Amino acid sequence: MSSLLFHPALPILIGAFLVLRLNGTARSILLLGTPLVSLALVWSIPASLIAPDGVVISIPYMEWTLEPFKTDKLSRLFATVFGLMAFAGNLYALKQEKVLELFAANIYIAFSLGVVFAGDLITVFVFWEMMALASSTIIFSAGTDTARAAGIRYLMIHLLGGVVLMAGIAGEVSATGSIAFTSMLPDTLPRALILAGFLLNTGAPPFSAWVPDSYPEASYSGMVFLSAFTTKTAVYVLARGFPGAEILIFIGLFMIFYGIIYGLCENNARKMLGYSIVNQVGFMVTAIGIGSALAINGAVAHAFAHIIYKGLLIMATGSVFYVTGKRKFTEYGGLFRTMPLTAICCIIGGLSISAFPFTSGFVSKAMTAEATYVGQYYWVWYLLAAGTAGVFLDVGIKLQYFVFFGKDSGQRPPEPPLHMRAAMVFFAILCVGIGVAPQLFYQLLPYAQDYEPNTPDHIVTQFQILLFSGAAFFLFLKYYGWHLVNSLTLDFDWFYRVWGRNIAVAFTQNAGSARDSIIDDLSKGAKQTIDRIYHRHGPAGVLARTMPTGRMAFWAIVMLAVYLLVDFAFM
Amino acid sequence: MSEQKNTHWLDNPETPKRLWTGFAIVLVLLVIAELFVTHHHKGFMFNFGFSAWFGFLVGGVSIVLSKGWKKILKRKDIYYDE
Repeated sequence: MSSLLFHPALPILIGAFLVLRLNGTARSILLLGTPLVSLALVWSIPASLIAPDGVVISIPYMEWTLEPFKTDKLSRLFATVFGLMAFAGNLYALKQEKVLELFAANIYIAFSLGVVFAGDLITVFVFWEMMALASSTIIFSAGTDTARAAGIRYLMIHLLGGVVLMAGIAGEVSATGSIAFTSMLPDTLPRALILAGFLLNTGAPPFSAWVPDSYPEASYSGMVFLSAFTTKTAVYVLARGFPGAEILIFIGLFMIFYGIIYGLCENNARKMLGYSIVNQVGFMVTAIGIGSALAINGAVAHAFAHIIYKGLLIMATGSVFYVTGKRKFTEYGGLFRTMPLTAICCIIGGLSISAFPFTSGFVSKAMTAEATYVGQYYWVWYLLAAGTAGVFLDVGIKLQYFVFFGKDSGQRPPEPPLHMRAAMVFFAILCVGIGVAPQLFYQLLPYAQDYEPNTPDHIVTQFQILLFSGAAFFLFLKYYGWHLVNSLTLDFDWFYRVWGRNIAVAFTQNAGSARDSIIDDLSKGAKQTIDRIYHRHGPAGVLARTMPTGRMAFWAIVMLAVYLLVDFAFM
Repeated sequence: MSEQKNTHWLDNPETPKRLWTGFAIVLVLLVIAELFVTHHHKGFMFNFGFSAWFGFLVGGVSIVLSKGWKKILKRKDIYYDE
């Protein structure tokens, strides 16, 4: 086991390159096989190496030691859910004709695993940047003009995050002399920069808009991959690097309510799920800010559950997009009639994300709520409870209602192909399975705990909070209407998409005229100088004329006389 | 085909009314059920009926807030393409 050859990223990375060469059944076997091999490698790491300092392999590099393969229960948990997501994502995308997307998606997964097993900051940074390149390739591979533009914006934001992260890492290494990736607090400028670099990938403010801006522009399957890895790898590095950094509580809570309010305003179903990613990651970021063992367990369990139910939701809406070619609520309605399986899977995903009892979302979010109560962060408890109810309105009701029920759009699209249905059913089973048997799931978590979420009081109050908020939603719908229109809601990205662009355009125009006038002045000056020289030295110039010998002799005598006078005067 | 469409339960005009009635019964039962459970923690948030009214309040406030937010910041969906 003490070799990089057993790194769980390797089979998926090799598979990604082979995908470019293979077709048909061989390609399908490869896409489904490599995640399973990766999962087998994750679970064949000996227990002795899952210790707190389980370094499987280290490599000397300059005066440091790189640790590209370091394992503990936290990395194993993320590697497990990444493997499951790789399997389900590849199954869903099995017939994807854009091979570039499959290649990019699989190297993206491999690089995510690279971050998860990285024991030092340099390795984290290298894989972090490669993830940004691979994920933007997934967006580009959708092939549309809007995807290209969104991909460029996505890449710009992530390269900015990379620069900030690199600056932080360089400062940290220079200050401490160590590249070890361990728990820290943002108490110095370099560490604050590292935190900012990590946070950018979670969709934290002010740059939250990159998630709903870019992900929906990927293909029906591309968004499934994108939803799982970038934000959750960021949650992983925050859980490892900054547990208990209290600023994360405020940032996380902002993300929760940002996602709810913008999600409720949104008319594009896929974009609404983008806002919902920010909202859910907000719960995880808040839990990491609380930082107790139970809260960290809550954060990472939530990340695990979220990858599955959000993957399921995006698969379901992706299926609707795949068969109808449409993505707006105003274009949907009544699709339950001909897409019952997709609808049921979407509803299960919606119930899970809303933390309905006996679903994966309930048993994972419950730990964070419990941690806020035990840690006496009562105000956070109230806000998290409000956030849970808000999510139910967004994804639990609005998404389901306007896509599958509501006003009949008259469309009767078929269910998606078998492999897409199979991927959805697989994830739906996991959502319910984790919710019904949470203790099995809890054994995977980094810290041992004795917590039971499925108690009668918890179940009753959770049903109350969710269903009563749902009642409020339907009452508003009934009496005030819910006029969905083709619109967008301005966000912080306005500053770089409009304001910043206007500044750039003004600069270009003004700089252009300034440059023209400088060139004008210079060329005029040069012409005048040339004219003057020509005037004196040209064929008719005063210095070019021939002079009589008498005048030359006269001027020579004058100069000699001046010389003699100067000589007598100063010697 | 049209017969099948007409008989679909979603198209039955009685369906929304039935769903509302069923939903209201479930809400009442949920509040009653709280009388029969013991809370593991103490505090305002575990008082009888808290989750019910808090959930309703959050639902209402979320919708009012999002409608207000949208009113201020709503633009045409081709805003960035113009």
